[in-house]
Amino acid sequence: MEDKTKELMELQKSRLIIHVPRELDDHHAREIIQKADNLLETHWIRTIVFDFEETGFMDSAGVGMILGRYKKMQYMGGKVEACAMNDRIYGMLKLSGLAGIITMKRRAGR
Amino acid sequence: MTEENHMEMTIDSRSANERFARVAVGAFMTQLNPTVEEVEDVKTAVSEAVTNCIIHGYEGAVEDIVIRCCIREKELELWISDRGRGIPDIAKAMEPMFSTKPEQERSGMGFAFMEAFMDTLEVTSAVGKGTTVHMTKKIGQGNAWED
Ligand SMILES: Nc1ncnc2c1ncn2[C@@H]1O[C@H](COP(=O)(O)OP(=O)(O)O)[C@@H](O)[C@H]1O
Ligand SMILES: [Mg+2]
Repeated sequence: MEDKTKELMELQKSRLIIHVPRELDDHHAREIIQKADNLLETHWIRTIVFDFEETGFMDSAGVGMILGRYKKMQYMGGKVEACAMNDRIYGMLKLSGLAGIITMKRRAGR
Repeated sequence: MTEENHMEMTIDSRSANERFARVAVGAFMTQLNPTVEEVEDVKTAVSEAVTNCIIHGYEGAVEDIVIRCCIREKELELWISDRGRGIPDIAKAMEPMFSTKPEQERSGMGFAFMEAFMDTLEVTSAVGKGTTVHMTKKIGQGNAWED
């Protein structure tokens, strides 16, 4: 369990990189939210990066998870980024209006 | 041509079952020879509907969710039901970004995704009685094993 936390959450100074798992639904989102919010309380974090490199499946729970962290970071003066989404996840984030409020970076070829 | 086929299952309203539900429906529809994209569309819609039963219908209580699935010609038809609290204003609930639980990290995009990924979406609900989401999708001639 502890090892899994380490893989999921990576701290690089004031950046928190969240390695989103293969599938992101309500069940997985609950775990990520809890762990991310713990770190936000105990560390000085300016940027949260959601790394979707490994992720094949996402539903609207993923959108809620990002929106919730965005609201927190906005309140604390920080920002949120999402990277390496596949076409499908990118489209879903856009449809949800996230493109306008967070930085979305797509890696070439994905 | 695919013969008519039917599947029905009842699952506990536990979040750990969300994955099982979408994978089961995804497996059932393979006889329609869907593309990877079509399977993903259906899995997303199933995930949204089942999650709604768990979070909104039963609000965390463990009760039954019924998933019924029918294949006819090249069409997939799905019913996902709970006997939970029901929806007082269905039109309002279906608006994108509308959620009665925004504080619980809900985006209000569930129905919007079901609508985007399926061909038809119909919601019937009665307060105190429960909710059924009925969805259909035509599955094309695509072959999931190509390229
Ligand atoms: N099975 C259900 N039982 C009761 N209410 C529901 C159900 N499904 C959806 N709703 C209502 O519809 C609203 C919108 O659903 P949805 O678009 O999935 O957004 P979200 O789940 O993020 O709130 C919910 O906030 C809830 O009020
Ligand atoms: Mg929902």
